[in-house]
Formats: sequence, C-alpha cells, structure tokens
Amino acid sequence: MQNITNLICLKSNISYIVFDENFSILDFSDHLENLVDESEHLMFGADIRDIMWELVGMEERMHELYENSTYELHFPMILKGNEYYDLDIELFEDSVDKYFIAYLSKKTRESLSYANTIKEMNKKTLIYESEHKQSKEEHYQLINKRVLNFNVDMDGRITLVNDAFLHFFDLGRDEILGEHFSLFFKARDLSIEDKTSMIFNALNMNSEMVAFHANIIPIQKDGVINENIIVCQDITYLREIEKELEFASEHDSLTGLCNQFILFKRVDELIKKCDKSGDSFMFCFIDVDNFKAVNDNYGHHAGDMLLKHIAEILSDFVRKDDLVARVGGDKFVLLFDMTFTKESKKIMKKRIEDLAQKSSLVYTQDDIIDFSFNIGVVSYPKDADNAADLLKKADKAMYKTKKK
Amino acid sequence: MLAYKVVMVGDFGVGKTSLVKRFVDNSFSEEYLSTIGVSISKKAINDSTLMLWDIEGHTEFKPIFKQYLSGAKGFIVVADINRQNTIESIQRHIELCHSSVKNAPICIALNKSDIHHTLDENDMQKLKELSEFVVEVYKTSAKEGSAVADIFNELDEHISKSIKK
Repeated sequence: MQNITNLICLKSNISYIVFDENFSILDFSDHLENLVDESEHLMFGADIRDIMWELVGMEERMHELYENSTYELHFPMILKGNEYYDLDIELFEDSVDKYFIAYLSKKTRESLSYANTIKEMNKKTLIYESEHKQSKEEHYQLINKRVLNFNVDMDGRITLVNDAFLHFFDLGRDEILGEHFSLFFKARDLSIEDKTSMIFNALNMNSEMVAFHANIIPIQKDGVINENIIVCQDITYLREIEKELEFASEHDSLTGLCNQFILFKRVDELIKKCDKSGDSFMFCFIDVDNFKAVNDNYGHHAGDMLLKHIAEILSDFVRKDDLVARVGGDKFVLLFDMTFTKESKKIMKKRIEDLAQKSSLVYTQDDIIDFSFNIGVVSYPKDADNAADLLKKADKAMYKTKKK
Repeated sequence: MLAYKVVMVGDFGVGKTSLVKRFVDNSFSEEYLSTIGVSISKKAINDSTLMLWDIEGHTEFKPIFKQYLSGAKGFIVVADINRQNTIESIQRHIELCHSSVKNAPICIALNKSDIHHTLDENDMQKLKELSEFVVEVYKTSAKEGSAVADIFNELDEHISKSIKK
C-alpha cells in the first residue's frame, strides 16, 4: 500500500510529510530529501521546522488549524533548488487522533511559463524605468548645466551645490561646502539679506569673467528663514549687448568710424597730454568735394559706398595712434597725435589730397567714381584751445580752401 | 537558539534578493532576476536564526501575496533610493505588514545608495515617522555591502528583546 501511495505521489509530482501538533515527523514520502532544506534532519520524530523552514513562525496558525478554526494553509510558488512548489498543509483526522499533512506539489510547466513571463515583464519594466529616468536626468542636466545653484546658511556659508557649480569652478564638492560664497562670487554689495536678486561676477575655470543674475529664494523652517537657495543664470550675453550698444553710441553705423563724441573725448585727452608735455597736435577737417553730385548721378547707394571707401582709405592712411572720425554727411576729421611745423602741415595736406586722386571708387565695371577733398588744417594750441573751437576753425579753413 | 521569520517586502526591482544574498552569502550580482513566489534562506546571527522570506515584489498588476507575511516576527521594507515611486510605496507596504502581523517591528532599507541620490536626513526622518513601529531607516547598498548587516542586526536586536520579555 505504501509503495502504491509513493508511486501515485511520484507520478503526480507530489511529496508529503505527516506530522503531529508538536511538529514531530510521523511519516513522509520517498524522494523528499531533495526538497527539504536540511535533509540530514529528515527522520521520524524530528521537528519538521528543521527541514521545512516555511513552518518556522507558523505555530499560532498551526494551532488554529488544529482547532479547526482555519481549513488549510497555502503557500504558492516556493522556490526549492531550481523548481517551484506549492505547499499546502491540511488537518487529517481519524478515529484516534489528529495529524497534519504537508503537501509539496511541483508546479506545472504552464504555471512556470506564466512565472517566466512575469519575470520578463518585470525586467523590461525596470529597464524602461531606468532608461526613462536617465533620459529625464540628461534633459535636466542639459538645463542645469547652465544654471548654478547653491544653498547658503544664514552666515553665507555654502551648504549645497549642484553639478553645474562644480563644473563652472572645476572644483570638488569638498572644496566648496562650508566656504563663504564670497570666495567664489564678487558683487558690489555681498549682503543677501532682504534681497530677491543680485548681480554676481565670477571667474570660471578658464579665468574668464562671467556675469550672473542671482535669484535669492529664502527657505523657512517653522516660520523662520534658516537658509537661502541662490540660483545663478549666466547673463554674459547681456554684457555683450551692452558692449554693442556702447559701440553703436560711439561709432558711425555706415563706416564704423568714431563719431563726434569720441573725437571730442580724444581731443580732450590730447589737450591734457600736450598741456603737460608742451607738444601740439593737428586737427584736419575733410569735406568730400561735390558729394551731392555722386548721389544725384549714381544714386544713394553709390554715395554710401563712396563714404565707406573714403573711411577705409583714410583709416589705412593714418598711424595706429591717430584717429579718423566721421562728423557729418560727407565730413571727416583726421586727428594726428604729433607735433607739426608749418611746412610739414602743408606736406600732410598735399598727401591727403593726392590720396583722393589715387583712390577712385570702382562702383561697377563701367562706373568709376572719382572724388577729391577740401581740407582745412588747424592745430592745438595755436588755433584753438578746445575741441569744439578746433572743429569750427578747421571747418572755416576748409571753406577758405574750397572757395579758392 | 531563537528561530523566527523575517519577510522582505517592497516593490519589484528594489534589491530585496540582493540584500538577502549579500547578508547570507556575502555575494552580489549585477544581473537583475525578478523573484517569483518566495525563496527562503536561513542565517544565524547573534543568538538567533533568521528565516528570511524573500518574496516577489509588488507590481502594478500583481500585489504581494499576503499569506507569505503570516507568522513573521519582523519585516524589512525595501525601496530603491533612486526610484521615488518605490519610496512612496513604503507607507502602503507598512500597512500591509501590519494588517498581517499587528505591531511587528519594521526596518526600512533605502537600497542602491551607492548610486548618486538626493535623499537627505530630513527625508529619512519623515520615513521613520510613518509608523511608531519603524525601528530604523537605513541607506543600504547590496552592491557595496554598506549597512546590510546593520539593518538585520538592528531588527534582530529589537525582536530578540521583545521575545525575551
């Protein structure tokens, strides 16, 4: 009879152990040693909890089962070796006594296939989540790279920094945390109390000065500000715009030459210099002769091209320390930072006149525009003692030449 | 020697199996093999023998099988420190543990702490305050082994004391 039971169990992939309410093993099926946890303890009278760890801690439940308050215990999908088993424990009662029977039934191929599908799904979900997170982080990092964030305590000491901060200064976290933020940022006033924004300057790892707009966000704990988050955005581009606007306010937009404002500034500088050294300088006013005719005959574009052309040849003509300015429609000024004699003034005037004659504008293949200059030359301190008067006098001198 | 059951609870992929493997065999594998059902391991520490139930993690479409929690003397609720959704699940896991075993002590393992993370002491304190039965919150790394033995020792100390009372 025992053999037949074992045969049925083997065929149905079931193993069993019979035990009493004290967990003492009373009987078990063949081949059970491969399924229990410590097979050397598998023997009649041994404590089943030594070979079936599933029953450790189940004393109360087993008692309930013994008292028939529950019908059975079921633990599905227990991994033993490489196989999965379901464990069911039932109470068996005959006319004499009550016993427990624990069945271990090996899982069918179908249920294992289901389990493997779940495994695959979990794996794929995890990979998807990880990739999704990575892509989100990369996206965040791209934005974050350009924004420096750090936290400071109420003494201005740095308590937290983001990666952009580390990258910008090319420093490690340990070199930054605990330091006062003024070690890294400069500003006119470094007090952040009661401020919502500030302008900071900082030298990056390449020793380039970068300007930041800093938002200051206070963090409150129990109604008291105990830290500030500082978010710094690079505003160097605004400085570039500022430079462009400054250049535009000081230069002629058509020719790129200095305008009257810069000319006068430079004259003031030279006056100061000459007053100290006793030197002089020459102020040369140039008017393009009959410029109106160029506009009338060739059009305004040709007129503009001619003015650009003249700006170029005059710029090429002067030395590095001299200055060329456009002070009106077809009027230019050359400022020579050097002492002149009466004779050398004449020579210079002649050279400029010759320059025009040698430099006709080739507007198109068929349109070659000749031009000439009317020139008035004055010098400091002989003819005037300030920029405006030098300009007036030079203009008058030019008219005299024109009338001749 | 005192023998009792401890169940590892948490979402799938948080490293429950890795923590058990590090603690029991002092081994670690980078390969992720999702646990199906339950695998039981035995480990002796101090004067106790722990039966560690490494159970299938909770997923959106498959909840934790409550029967596995039955008879446990304590729980380790595990979350991935870099997956916010698994940290948010901790509360639900604590409730599940206590619906099965009232007032059982729980240690929280914020695993994979070897990877860069932003969780700070305040966040950990908040997790500890989720239940009066949360004994301690640890940042663990099954990969590097950090705080792995600590969390099991802490739970054992707590359980041993309460059983001896």
